[in-house]
Amino acid sequence: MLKKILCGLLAGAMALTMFAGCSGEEGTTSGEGGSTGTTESTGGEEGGDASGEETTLRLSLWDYETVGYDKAMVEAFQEANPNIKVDVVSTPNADYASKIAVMLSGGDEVDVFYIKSNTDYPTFVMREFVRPLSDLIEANNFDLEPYGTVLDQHYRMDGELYALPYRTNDWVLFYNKDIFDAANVPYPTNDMTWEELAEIAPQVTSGEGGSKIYGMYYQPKVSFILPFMVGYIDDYDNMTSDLSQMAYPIQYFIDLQNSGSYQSYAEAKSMSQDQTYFFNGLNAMFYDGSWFVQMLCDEESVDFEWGVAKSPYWEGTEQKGFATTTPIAINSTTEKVDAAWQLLSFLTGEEGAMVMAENKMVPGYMSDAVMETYREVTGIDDSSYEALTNNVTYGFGEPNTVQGLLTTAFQEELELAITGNQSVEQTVANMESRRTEIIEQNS
Amino acid sequence: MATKALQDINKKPLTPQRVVITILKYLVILCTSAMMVLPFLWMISASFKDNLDVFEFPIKWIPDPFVTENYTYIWEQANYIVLFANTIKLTLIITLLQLITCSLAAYAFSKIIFPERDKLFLAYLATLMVPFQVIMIPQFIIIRNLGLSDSHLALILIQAFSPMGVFLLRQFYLTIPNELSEAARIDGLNEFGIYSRIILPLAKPTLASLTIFTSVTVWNDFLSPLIYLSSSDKFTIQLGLRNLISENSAEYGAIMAASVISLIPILIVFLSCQKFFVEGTTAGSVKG
Amino acid sequence: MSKKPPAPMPSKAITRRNRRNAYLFLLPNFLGFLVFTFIPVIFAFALSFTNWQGSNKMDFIGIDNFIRMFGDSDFTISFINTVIYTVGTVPFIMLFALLLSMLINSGIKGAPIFRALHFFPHISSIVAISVVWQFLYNNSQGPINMFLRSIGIQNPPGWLSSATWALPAVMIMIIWKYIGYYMINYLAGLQAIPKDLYEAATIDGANGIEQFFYVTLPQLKPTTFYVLIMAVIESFKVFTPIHVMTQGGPGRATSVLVYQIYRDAFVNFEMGYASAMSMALFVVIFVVTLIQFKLQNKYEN
Repeated sequence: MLKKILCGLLAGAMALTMFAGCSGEEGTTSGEGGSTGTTESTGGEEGGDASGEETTLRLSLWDYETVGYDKAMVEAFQEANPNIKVDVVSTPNADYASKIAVMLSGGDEVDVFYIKSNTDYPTFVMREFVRPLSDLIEANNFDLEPYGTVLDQHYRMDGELYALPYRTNDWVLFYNKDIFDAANVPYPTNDMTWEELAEIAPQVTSGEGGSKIYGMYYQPKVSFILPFMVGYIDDYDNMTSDLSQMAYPIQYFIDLQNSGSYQSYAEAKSMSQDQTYFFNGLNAMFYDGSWFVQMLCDEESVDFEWGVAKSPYWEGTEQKGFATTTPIAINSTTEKVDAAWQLLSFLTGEEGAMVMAENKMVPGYMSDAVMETYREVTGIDDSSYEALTNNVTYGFGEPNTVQGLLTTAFQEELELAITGNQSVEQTVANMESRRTEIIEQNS
Repeated sequence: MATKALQDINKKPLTPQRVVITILKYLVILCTSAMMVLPFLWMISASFKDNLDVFEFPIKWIPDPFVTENYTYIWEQANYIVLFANTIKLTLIITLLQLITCSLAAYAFSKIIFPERDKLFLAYLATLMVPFQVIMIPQFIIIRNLGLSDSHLALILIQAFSPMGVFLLRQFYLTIPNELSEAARIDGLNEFGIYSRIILPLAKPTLASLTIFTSVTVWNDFLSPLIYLSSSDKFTIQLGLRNLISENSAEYGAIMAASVISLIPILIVFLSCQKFFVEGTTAGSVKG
Repeated sequence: MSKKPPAPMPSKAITRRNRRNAYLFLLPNFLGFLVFTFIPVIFAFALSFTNWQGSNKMDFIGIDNFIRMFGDSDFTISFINTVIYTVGTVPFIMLFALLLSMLINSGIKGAPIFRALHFFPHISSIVAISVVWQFLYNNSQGPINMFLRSIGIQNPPGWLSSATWALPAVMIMIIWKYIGYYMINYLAGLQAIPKDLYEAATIDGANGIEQFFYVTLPQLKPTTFYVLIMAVIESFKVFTPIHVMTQGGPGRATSVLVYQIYRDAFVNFEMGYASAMSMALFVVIFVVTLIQFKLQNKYEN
């Protein structure tokens, strides 16, 4: 009796799971095409039906639905390559790290994937998740010239390339022309120092309370603040540079904060502030990545004139700006190498770059034609265009696995300094001691 | 009002002391309720504001201007209906399976004596102590080898057999005097009969709390859908919510709107389970 | 409660029958538990002795990972934070949950509404909650500091931006969020107390406070045991509020163990080391739980 009932119950449970399973499976089949975008069908599907042989690639990235250009690129690729179908796996950006880590370590069939930033890239190389590209580049006569110096700076490890950048993020200075005009202050130039900026900032600060216009604005993320500081040190490298020199830029930032022309970091953070504050005309100058151009162009609520200036630099140093790039790589375990290369070289090469430019984003592949398109589409003025091109850039140093850890540690210490929890001297000393610890731990 | 309530509950003569205590009780409960619910009221208010006004000081509780765009914006993101449907489906199936499997297992752990019982139970408990972050990858490999990647079934299987549910019910079964089941045994009921006719009816309040806990957990779960689902037509509410936070700007008004909406179904579950707590309220009360 | 003498040793036949019955009852749950929880846990345990970094090579390195932890300030700091967090949240959550459940259960009008209101924090999405609390904690104009100033505290804490106050700030939010959750447990437990126990106590002349200590608390022991163990486990494993709200900052002030495990496993691909850290965490929770187990058994006999 007991057995019977139990068996019945078990069978019931099984049936239920089976039922659930069926509906799950159903989802898989119907969702196959849909996963490249549930909203509309892409060209590839029809093309794929026509040519009998079809390869399916899985592409992992973030914010596919919300960021327009990735979708545009994939759709363009589908149109150009009807026999390759791209299955997009999209993840909310904040949790991309977990998703890609589990997919790669768990052996999921992902063929091509984005990496958050060039600073994460060395780890992927050292852990052997990414396939070397030299043979493919050579076999396909792929032109590396338009990437400029960034490949050597960010990508080449022991002479080998494992990824290519599809997006360049130059940190530059955005400014609200209307505010400058009203205050009768000349616009920031492409040749300005941080020290000069600190002098201008109070002149374009006005108002009180919630509608106060701040002269200068950084997004309240330490990862956006550390970069301009390390520019103070010549040939900066996380691993080797003399960190005691950091005291000067950190003090600079604290002074700026105290002067009232930059809202305090802690305040801005507690109000979850982001770049929309510049949209709304609440900041005269704003230090941000070049992706912001697209948002300024497309956001309807922007009702003021704006411009872009090259990143300020520190007095007495060579003029240069911070830049990061967003890499795309091929999974080292994929068997569909040719198709994967086709996708990668499309996304990071001329065609993809063209789509990026049409979407007002600065691509990695900066050929003249691409940049001309970028200029036309964005409609920015000459000086702004100049600000975004031919930049001499720096990063956090030679790519290696410890860079990410060091950057995080420095950011943590820096945050303590700019929130008033720790003196500048203490901060610098802690950076130094944590660097020693991290390098020891990982050697 | 306080006096009236007092008369209803305690048929004892009124003394000034009792009145004071009753008033105090209401004061405390009103204060804590306000603390619990104020942030939520702020959420509702923010969901009717422009992104910029969300964080304005001083707080304006009545939005001005009053915008409903956050709700239409979410509505227009057509797949929100799909997200809701998926989440409801998962919540229902997982909760039901947990109620069945956990209540059975808890019976074995509390009412049947067998030698390795406590060790086995400790093993159950022990798995709760390992963070999900490190079992994620092995679990993922198992799911993949079963051919269940990117399916709802994967989520169901990893959540339907929760050790927590077993623990919760076991603890309750322990409070049921063994004399009850012994008597039933003498009356000729077999184990399953005792489970279904004696224990389960008594366990209603705890089964109700397990229903609430499980459905809240599944409903608000973010990490497992993130890891196990890849196609957007299988996503859940929480994944949709995170998509409103892009790298450099977040739609805070819309986030609040989505949070408010996603709260409603779970509130319905809660309210419908409530009546199990009400049964015999006065009987179990501490007469202060 | 049942103060029976220990059950007499069952005969072999009875043991066999009991065991068969027990496993039949366990089967549906046990199968799923074994495949999807237990095996992955064993795998993670094994990983902690390797240097696995996500790709194919996986070498056995003995206890190197465990030795490494002691020289790792990220580990020690987050370990201490986790302990502070647990000690600072669990007792308050339990106390408030118990008191509130008794208050709601004491026959006041509108109990269903009060119950629902107290459960709101638990059902709201953590993303929204953390945005709200960041705002509440705003240093200069946030409602919390406004209130503190109005009652005469001139320099209220900087909360989330202060290295000293950030962890307490998160803890307050967590206490707020979980009171309602554990209150539900206590409410269910209170329902199970036979009312004749109170009647008997009243006849014996016990007043409210005596009833609480001699009837309510002993009767709630299994519930309290559950709440205590789950609250301890959950707070040792805290991750999401930190990940969403502070990312461990400012500095490492709110960095907790599972947040470090997450960073090592998924940002740095040190799966072996991350597993080792979680084993350390496991041992701590396990010992704490065992002590509770022993204490419970001691009180019961």
